[in-house]
Amino acid sequence: MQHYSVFSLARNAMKHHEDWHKAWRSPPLKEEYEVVIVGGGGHGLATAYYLAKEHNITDVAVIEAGWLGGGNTGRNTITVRSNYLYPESAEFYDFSLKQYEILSRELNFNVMLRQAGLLRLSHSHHDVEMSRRAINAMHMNGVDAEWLTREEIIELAPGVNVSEEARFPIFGGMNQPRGGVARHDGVAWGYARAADDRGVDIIQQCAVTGFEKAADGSHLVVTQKGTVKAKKVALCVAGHSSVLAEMAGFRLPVTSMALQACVSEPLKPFIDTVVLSPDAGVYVSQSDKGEVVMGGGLDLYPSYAQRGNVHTLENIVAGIVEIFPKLRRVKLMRQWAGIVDIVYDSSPIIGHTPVKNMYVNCGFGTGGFKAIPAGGYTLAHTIATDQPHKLTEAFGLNRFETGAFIDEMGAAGIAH
Amino acid sequence: MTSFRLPSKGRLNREKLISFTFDGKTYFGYEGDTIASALMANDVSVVGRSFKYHRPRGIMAAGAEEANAIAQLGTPPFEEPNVRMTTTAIQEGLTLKSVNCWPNAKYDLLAVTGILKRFFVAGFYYKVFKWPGWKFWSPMVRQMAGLGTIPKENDPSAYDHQYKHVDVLVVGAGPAGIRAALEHAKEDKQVLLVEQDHQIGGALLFEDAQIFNLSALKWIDAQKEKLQSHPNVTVMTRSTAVGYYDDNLLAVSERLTDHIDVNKVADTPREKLWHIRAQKVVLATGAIERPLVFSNNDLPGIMLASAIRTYVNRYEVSPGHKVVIATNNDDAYRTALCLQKAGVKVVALVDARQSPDGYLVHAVEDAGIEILKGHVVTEAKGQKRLSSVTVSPIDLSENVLSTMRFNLKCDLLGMSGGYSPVVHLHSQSGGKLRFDDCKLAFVPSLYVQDNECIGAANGYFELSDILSDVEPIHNSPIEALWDLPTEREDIRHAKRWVDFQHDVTSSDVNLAARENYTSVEHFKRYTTTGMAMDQGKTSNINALAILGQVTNRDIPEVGTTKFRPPYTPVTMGAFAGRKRGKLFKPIRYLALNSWHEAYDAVFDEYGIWTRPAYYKEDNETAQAAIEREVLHVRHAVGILDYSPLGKIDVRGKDAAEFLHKFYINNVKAMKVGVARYGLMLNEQATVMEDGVFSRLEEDHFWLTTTSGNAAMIAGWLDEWRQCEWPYLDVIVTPMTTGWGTISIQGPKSRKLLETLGLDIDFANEAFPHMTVRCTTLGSVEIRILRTSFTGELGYEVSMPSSYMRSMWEALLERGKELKVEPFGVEALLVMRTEKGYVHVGGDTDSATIPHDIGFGAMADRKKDDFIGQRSLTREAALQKNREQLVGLEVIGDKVLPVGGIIMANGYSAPPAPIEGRVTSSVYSPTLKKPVALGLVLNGYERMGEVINIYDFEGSYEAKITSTCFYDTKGELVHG
Amino acid sequence: MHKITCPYCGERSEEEFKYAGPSHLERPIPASEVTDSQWAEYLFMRDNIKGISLERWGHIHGCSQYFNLIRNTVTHEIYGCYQMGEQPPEGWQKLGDKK
Repeated sequence: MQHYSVFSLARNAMKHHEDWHKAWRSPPLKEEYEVVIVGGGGHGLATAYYLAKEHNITDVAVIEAGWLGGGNTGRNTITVRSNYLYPESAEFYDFSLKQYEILSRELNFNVMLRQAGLLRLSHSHHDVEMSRRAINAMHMNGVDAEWLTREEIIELAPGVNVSEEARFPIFGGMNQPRGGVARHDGVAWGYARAADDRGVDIIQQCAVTGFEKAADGSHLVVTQKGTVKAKKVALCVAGHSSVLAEMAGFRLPVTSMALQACVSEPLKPFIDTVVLSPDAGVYVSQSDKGEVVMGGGLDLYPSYAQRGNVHTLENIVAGIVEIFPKLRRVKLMRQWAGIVDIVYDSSPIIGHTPVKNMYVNCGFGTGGFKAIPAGGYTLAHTIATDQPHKLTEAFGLNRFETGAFIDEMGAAGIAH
Repeated sequence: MTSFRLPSKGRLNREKLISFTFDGKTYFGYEGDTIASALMANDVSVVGRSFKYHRPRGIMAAGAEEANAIAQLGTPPFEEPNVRMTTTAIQEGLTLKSVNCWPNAKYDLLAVTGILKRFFVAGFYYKVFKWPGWKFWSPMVRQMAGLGTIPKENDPSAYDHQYKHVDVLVVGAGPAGIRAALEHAKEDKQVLLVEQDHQIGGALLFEDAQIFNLSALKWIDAQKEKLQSHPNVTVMTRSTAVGYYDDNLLAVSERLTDHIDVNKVADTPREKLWHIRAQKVVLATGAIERPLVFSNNDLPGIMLASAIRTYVNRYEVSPGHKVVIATNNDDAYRTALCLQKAGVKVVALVDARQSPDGYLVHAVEDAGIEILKGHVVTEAKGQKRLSSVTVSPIDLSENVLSTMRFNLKCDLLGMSGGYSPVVHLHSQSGGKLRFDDCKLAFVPSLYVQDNECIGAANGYFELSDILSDVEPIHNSPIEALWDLPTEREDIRHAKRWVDFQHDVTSSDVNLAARENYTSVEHFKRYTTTGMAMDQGKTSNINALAILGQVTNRDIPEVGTTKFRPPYTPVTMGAFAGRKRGKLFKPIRYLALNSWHEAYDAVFDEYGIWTRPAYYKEDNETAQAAIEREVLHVRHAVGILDYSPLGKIDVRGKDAAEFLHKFYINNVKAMKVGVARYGLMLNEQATVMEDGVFSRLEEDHFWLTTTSGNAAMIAGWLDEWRQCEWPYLDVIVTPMTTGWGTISIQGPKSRKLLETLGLDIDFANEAFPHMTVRCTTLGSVEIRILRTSFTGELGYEVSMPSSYMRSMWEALLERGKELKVEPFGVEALLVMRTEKGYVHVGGDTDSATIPHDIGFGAMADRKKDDFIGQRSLTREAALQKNREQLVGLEVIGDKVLPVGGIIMANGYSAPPAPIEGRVTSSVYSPTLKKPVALGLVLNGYERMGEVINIYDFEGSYEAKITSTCFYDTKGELVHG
Repeated sequence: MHKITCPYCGERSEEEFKYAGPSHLERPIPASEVTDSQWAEYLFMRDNIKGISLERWGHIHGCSQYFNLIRNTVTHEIYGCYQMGEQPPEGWQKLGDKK
């Protein structure tokens, strides 16, 4: 792999950047792989990378219907955090955050992790108690968290609405200093490049159309570019999990819905931290390009259309300008949507499926981006060993039968 | 001087001189000028700086596609960042400041970054800044980013939403849109025509056209009259259709007041966001001209050819003195003719095509303008302003550029790379596009909703294609010239801009291709093409065509990125509309709110209701007031406005059977007049709701619910009724807001009720605890439930809300001798905690089943099916280790914090395993000590155990007890 | 933004409605006799169709009535509705083909 550094940049600049190599190859699809990963988003690519790195399994294909990182990986609001109540979630997501903390150097690709904090505002006495519980629980789980007073919040989030006309008073808020943002494309591309370097074939523009069984019990993955034999198959397709599961002959406890996000025109930086208001139902941050990045609730019905609804968008923007009224005269530049996989307890499903040697990673709903390193790491473990990773023992499909849910709703008011 | 004002042709109001400032200097323009045209008339050529390299930039366009001319407009509180100068009219006193530069656009010290442009190529930041880390570098990078600044003050303007249903919505009032509007109106359709400009006419506002015997402007006037006089047509100007949603719903942003006075709060909303639902949508959104790609093509003085015509004809200003036109199509020839007509010198017309011979070509030849056929502009030269261009012969068929070159002196270059139909809305509607090889443009192909694209938006760029009254002319076809051939060394390494605002050059496109970011979405993101404020209106097609060339793919194979709303940026306040401040989430006041106010209530918001937390006497603290109210109820009698209590009537012959399916209680066995404390579960067996419900008649039940769940439970019951058990004869009627409730609590509450003189025997035996009585007072229906959430003798008296005040005042008046006092929610919460009554949602969470709050036996006893029952036998519900609700007696005298975490045995500091939490905690004035409730792992088996509780502000020890701290035998409620 | 035809009120905008889950889910009777796995099937496992789907919607800010909608989850086209307790029209799976 061509090493990226300030020196290689300088060297290449002298040569008019004509010597840069491909970030990843575009190899042909082989007839057989040890592992086929369906879905070239962050989770699929990370799974391939950790299979190669941690388990030395490199005979791997990542098969992507569109372009790598083009689903929810490239459509989210780039927030990373690990502010969870339950130890199962906290361990999983904090492991993920710790991987993020070393990712740029590990992948030799700047994923632009900026840990400027994730601030959740408390607008009521009841919510102050909720925040207190969350901070305490996070400390118990070994995760950083702090209470900020109203004055500290005004300083950290300049322009936050403390005016007379504000609908929601601010009593303080919970901050996770290690929370923040990372560049979504960078994560997908960084994993793709590193996985490719270790021998993983990334096949783009190649939709999977069915699954069959080979005589020796292997899977046959039928794709637009031909049929591939694979000992093991992993599904990492988020909003399309049900479609792939149906091809493989099982169902999942998933409903696909559209989640919108939008950005304003670029502004000079005015806020570093991610701010979340549970009462206004929104969260906001400012990208390194200066755009105000905004998100809120789901369009609450099943949808595979990657676009949203105008009234949901109006609610999101109204919430944003209620919390940051100075943005009222700023203009909205672009709105889009992704298809997210909603499950009952808003916790992921990682591990075995009813089909032998077929594994799944789905159910991250609105919050899969922050989990990419952990999702990939743990699924790679399960694929390699056929055993759940200890971080994901609680996140199996069997919880829907036992009722042992990890229901984090209320941990952050709204998920993202 | 380069650009200058032309003699008047009546398009501007030369009588009205308007002054405005840009970067601190005062300039003058005329009524009718945009900021761009006025600055041009003042010979201001550098109006902004580019995003990355801080290159000096001039005005390049005359409409919404402008990428360079962006400014901060106005002064607080009317500041607006990132205003397009090309679409904003000047007005007296307007102040503008250039953005993304320091100290100003003309002299920008930040332009030093341009020196580093050799390093700052596409995606360079992915390759570096890993040491010492992005946290170190990002503050510097962030300072460089962004254009305008966030307004310093909150915007005082009002915004609104409005809804409209029409038969036909026509978007764009150019010739095609006007024609379509009139045609549909003739067919008796209600037509709405929306136009982003403040005038209708579209391209005819600047084109020299003859329509039958009318000039373009006369034609527009005639059409305007037709439109205005037609009863079926409504025309909205300053209205941009910005989003196309499902089922022909379009969002239209209408700007109402800025053009009148931007520095004042108008009486009317500043902007309106319309939701237009149309049976049919006609998109006549026109087309946008593409720039040509050559070295330094971003220099001020280089403009789109059609934009020059706009400035000359519509704004009576010439952007230059000596003009070169560069093109690959016939349309730019019009610019040469237009300039010559205006008396501006056209040095040459450089046409990349070998032998164009259309009507316009001959017209330009006849006008004596030199045409350099088979030539291209390879480079622009000049310091902050174009001074000359370099021209070379080219053979487009072989894609070979000659090494021969020569210079042409000029101060203005008009360029045209052809037109791209504005297919944004069509694409948002779900419609598909196809690439037309003749027109070199993406045009609409498949329609998904009931809409059509017409005119230039459909690839018909000539007026004669649109209006039959126009003489068709012969055009020579456009030929592809996406980028210069790069064999020549001086060309290969020169910067040729593709996306002007984001500083993306064709070498960035090449770099992305080289690194395999070849999918159009990867390419877009890696180079940031089309992601600036103009969203790639001028850059996207050029960029993907070049990407196609360097990756040996056809343009259709490369494809386009998704067109996302909004078409042009829309004020966020307009999206919010009136959903702002108190109206963001309307506050719900009690019917008795004014009484409470007058009685010095201190209010708080509890769920959706604003209610008295307590009533303040003199200067007492909140704590003192709450304690006073508690003790008063405990020793005498208090009344509480309990109206938010959820109230649901369930009637019908199957009402008992119906409710039997919801409560864990045995509903069918209930006798008339009896009330029960009941739990409702959801299908996960989670305790979802608790409340007292009673049987008023055989076929009539009355449910009370927690106030926060009132609407949800009514909806829940009705959804099950309609969808699962439609055969049951039952009606569910929510009555929470229609009926008010007064809770009368305390040992003297019976005596207080007796003063009302109702025909009810309140004696303990006649009206025992957990029974209900209905009566009337005059003609007013009253329901009295004997129940208690305080642990005292108590009643809840309900009646239609309009009688609440009479009843409330009557109780206070008649109860004077009994010393009745009102009390607030906080006192109630203290008393229920002292009593250990569970607060569902506070003391429980989604994992709590009846067994965890002491109702396991009741749930297990019921054999008939009820909602949630099945999940009580799942593994997680049956397992031993569950969090159970217990009392917590703190060791010491501090009140436990709600949200304190119970640590596993042996731990005294985090991190530690979590074994529960404090869910309710108060200081009990009755017991003169703190009391608390908590969910504790296996709490029922750990009575008496001392546990460690962590809070980030301190640690505590507490003893596990039963939940009830007051009147543990429960005698008082029966008193 | 769908335009939904409520069988009782006529054409209304999406904001007035609530999606209330897939149509024709059959709650096991008696629930106590099904296995955990069957119970999980009923509660959680979903077809989550990409394409034409039968869905229960409630006109909760209107007449409060629930009904079934035949809707395409990809294009958001609505092909028709029918009342609770009724079965979908024959050939509903092919309703999108006419285009």
